[in-house]
Amino acid sequence: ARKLKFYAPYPSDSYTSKALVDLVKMIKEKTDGEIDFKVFPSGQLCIYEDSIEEVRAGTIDASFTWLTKRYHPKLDIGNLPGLCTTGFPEYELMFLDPKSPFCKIIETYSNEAGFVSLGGWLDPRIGFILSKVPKNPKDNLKKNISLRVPAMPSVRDMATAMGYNTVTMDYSEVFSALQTGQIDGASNIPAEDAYLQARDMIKCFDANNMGSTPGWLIINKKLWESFGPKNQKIVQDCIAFQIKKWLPVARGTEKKYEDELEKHGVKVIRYSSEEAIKRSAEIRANVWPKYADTYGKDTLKVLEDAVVANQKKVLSGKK
Amino acid sequence: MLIVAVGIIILGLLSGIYLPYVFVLSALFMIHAGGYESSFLMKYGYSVCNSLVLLCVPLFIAVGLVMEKSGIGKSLVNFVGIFVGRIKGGLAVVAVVACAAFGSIAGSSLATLSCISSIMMPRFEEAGYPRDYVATLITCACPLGLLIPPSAHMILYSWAGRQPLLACFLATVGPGLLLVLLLSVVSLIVLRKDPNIKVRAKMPPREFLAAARDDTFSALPAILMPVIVLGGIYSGTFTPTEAAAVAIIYSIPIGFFVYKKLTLRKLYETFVETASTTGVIMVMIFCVMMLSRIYIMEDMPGLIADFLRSFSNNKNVILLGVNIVVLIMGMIMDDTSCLLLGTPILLPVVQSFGVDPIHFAAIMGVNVAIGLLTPPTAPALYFGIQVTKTPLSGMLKTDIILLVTCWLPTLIAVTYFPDLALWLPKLILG
Amino acid sequence: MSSEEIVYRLMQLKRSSPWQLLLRIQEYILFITTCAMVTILGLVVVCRYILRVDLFGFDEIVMISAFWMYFIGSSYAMEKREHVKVDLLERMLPLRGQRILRIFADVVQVLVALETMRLSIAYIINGINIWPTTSAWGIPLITSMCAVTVGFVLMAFYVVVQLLEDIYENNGDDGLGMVGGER
Ligand code: NA
Ligand code: NA
Repeated sequence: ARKLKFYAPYPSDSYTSKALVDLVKMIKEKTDGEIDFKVFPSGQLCIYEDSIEEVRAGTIDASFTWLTKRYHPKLDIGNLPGLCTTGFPEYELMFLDPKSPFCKIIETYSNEAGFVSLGGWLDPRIGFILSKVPKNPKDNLKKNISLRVPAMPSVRDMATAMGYNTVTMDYSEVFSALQTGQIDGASNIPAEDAYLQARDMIKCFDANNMGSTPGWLIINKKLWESFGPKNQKIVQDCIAFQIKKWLPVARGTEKKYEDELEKHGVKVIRYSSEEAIKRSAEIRANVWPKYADTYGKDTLKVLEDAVVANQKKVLSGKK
Repeated sequence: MLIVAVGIIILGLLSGIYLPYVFVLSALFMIHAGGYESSFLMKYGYSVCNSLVLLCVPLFIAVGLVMEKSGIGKSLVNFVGIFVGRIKGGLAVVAVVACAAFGSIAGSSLATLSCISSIMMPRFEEAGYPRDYVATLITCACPLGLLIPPSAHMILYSWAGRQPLLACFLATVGPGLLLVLLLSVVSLIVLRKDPNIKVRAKMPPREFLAAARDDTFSALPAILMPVIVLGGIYSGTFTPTEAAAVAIIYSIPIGFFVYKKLTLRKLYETFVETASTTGVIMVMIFCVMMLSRIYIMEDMPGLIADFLRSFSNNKNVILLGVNIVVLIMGMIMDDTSCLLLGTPILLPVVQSFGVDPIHFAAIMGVNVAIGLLTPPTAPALYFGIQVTKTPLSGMLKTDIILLVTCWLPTLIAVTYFPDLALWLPKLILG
Repeated sequence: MSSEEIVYRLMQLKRSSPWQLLLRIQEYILFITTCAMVTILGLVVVCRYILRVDLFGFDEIVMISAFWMYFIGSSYAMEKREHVKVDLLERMLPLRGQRILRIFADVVQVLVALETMRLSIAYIINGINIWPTTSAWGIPLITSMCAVTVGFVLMAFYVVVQLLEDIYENNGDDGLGMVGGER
């Protein structure tokens, strides 16, 4: 039989893609070769946004992607700011636990959009790269710094609330625009990309984790139903197993590249859990109410409670 | 199946079917032979074309046409002519240098080609240069825009290969300059004895100075234009796409009121021509990308990589093999997909043999640029046919000559003398 | 009908007012979309550097106009036979061979064009069903997607007319069907 196609946005040597390769290998073994995926890394097959529609239509079988509102007006709910500002500990609770309220919300929306959600996947946490060091990086006063944001309303509102002047431009123009000084920074960049692609252009990496954008696993509905309960369970177990296995790598990579940036002379702005939680509350209070109509007040309330509960867990876990 | 699909492309091309339909034909064959669903073809073409960066193509076509129709281009070239009018083939050197300079604004070869050809072709014709040769020369020089930063190719390489962008940018400068030199020298040699090329009659120094002053003065508003575009980009005032729009907006009043060549009717025609030329290019990209998507799903790159590994353990042999593979890939697919396919698969292979990834950036850069000029899939060549209105049969011979005498030596040099690529990144980034 | 008659009908068709009107409409669309693109990008620069305002998600509007420019432009070029093709083999053949090759290419082209048209119609129907929108403003993508369909439908139409022209026209007189790519 033809191998099933698994979309992956990151290059083959990134840990997210390596973990996916591990995952499909494990699934193949556990199902005695019944389910056999091939991972197509580097976003070769199409842009991540369209992989969603292709998974729905069945021309790609499964995808690791970021959910946007292109194919469902609510699917970009994960772009709301402040969902996991303390980084991986909260990220695990919010996105990687299949029983979390957020995962349930996405399951519902995915169903409406015509595909099946398999939950969050390992994805580097993100900060801002800046060619100027802001005087007041940790508060939300006007900074007079122009920051490129992706053209997503909630991300723009987040950056504005944090005191930045937002600029929208194509992602492919970001690094040259940064180099020529056309923009002073860009939001939602992992430390790894900051180091590998921009270390010579930037003075500062603000590891604020304010943008959330969880990487997500989705699968074609017909295909999923064809697996039957037994194989579905195997797939879910394999995902949980691989996430657990690769989480230390994810954390290690983040730390490694933040350290490398510092060694390279880039100022890395880190936040204590308390600082991150405080700022998350400020930004959520500013931005979320604007989206009450989009996602519904009840949904936002569920998420708000989840954020607060997760943050409590993170704080108590530290003690 | 892959071989049949490639065969269909070659046969389709030779029988004179419009290119976009040739690509669709081959794609449809693979869809049916491979048992795929066809519904993703249009979606994929759409999503590829739905890119703001690609807008550089129509905008710089428009810049070129507006410059031409408004009289700006002509007075600019008059100005340049002051310095080279007396040398046989001098204008060819100017064209090569102009490709490098103008290409560095756009970061795209096709935009460079459209802009330079619309300025230089009338001038070449006036001076009696062999049309086939100079059209091909500009076509073969246009990928310089991709070797001299900023470069769309290097942005893609740095993303797919996870390498620092700045270093990748700088890596292709060395080979780019070498190429400028080779193209210029070859052109001077080829055109040296051409009896049809008119060289300006000798003038007494006083007359020459007066003429030079007049030409310079009347060219001033025109000279300002590259200053605005280049200065605007390098000072960080606008992106290349925006720079092109600003250039158009700037040149319209100049054309109307300074050179008085532009009329509303002409502007209308210019914009319609811009759009229809753009349409030809974009629909071709749309269709090529549908095809390359199927190549990826058939894992053609993976097969190539396996094959290569089984061959040898010597670094130089592997590099030779990788170059041949990329050259062949460049023949059958467009530059973007070639780069996006080749980089993640070939970079780990060459790295395991001790090749510096920044060095490989330059190798890929030069090699993929060659792909723009090698049929059957040769975007720059076909675009050159379109914008210079020169038939392929007239271009092919010179294309092969320039590939062999300029591009291949550059590729060999950058492959086996890593310092050609690495000196500038080392110098600037340490 | 004799071939003279068909040629005459085709000429009449190309001179008829609906045909010319269609061309005019295409020209207007091309002019307007090009103007829109230049103006919007100019505005972006003015807003960003003079007024210091970010035109959030402006690219979504530019891309709508761009798609209409691309695909109407392409169909317009098809009417004028300006699409790129390789004329290598054609030039090496004797006149009779040229004609046979030309018609063979035309026939294949028509088949491919019709299939492409079918795909583009299926594409737009799917698009209406799932109704995708842009990420910044939530603009329905259908606004640019239907340009693709319109473009491929018009291209198919012109390719069919070209086939008829090439079959029935006398070889060589006005060069039609001989040097299509360079006219
Ligand atoms: Na360039
Ligand atoms: Na090629």
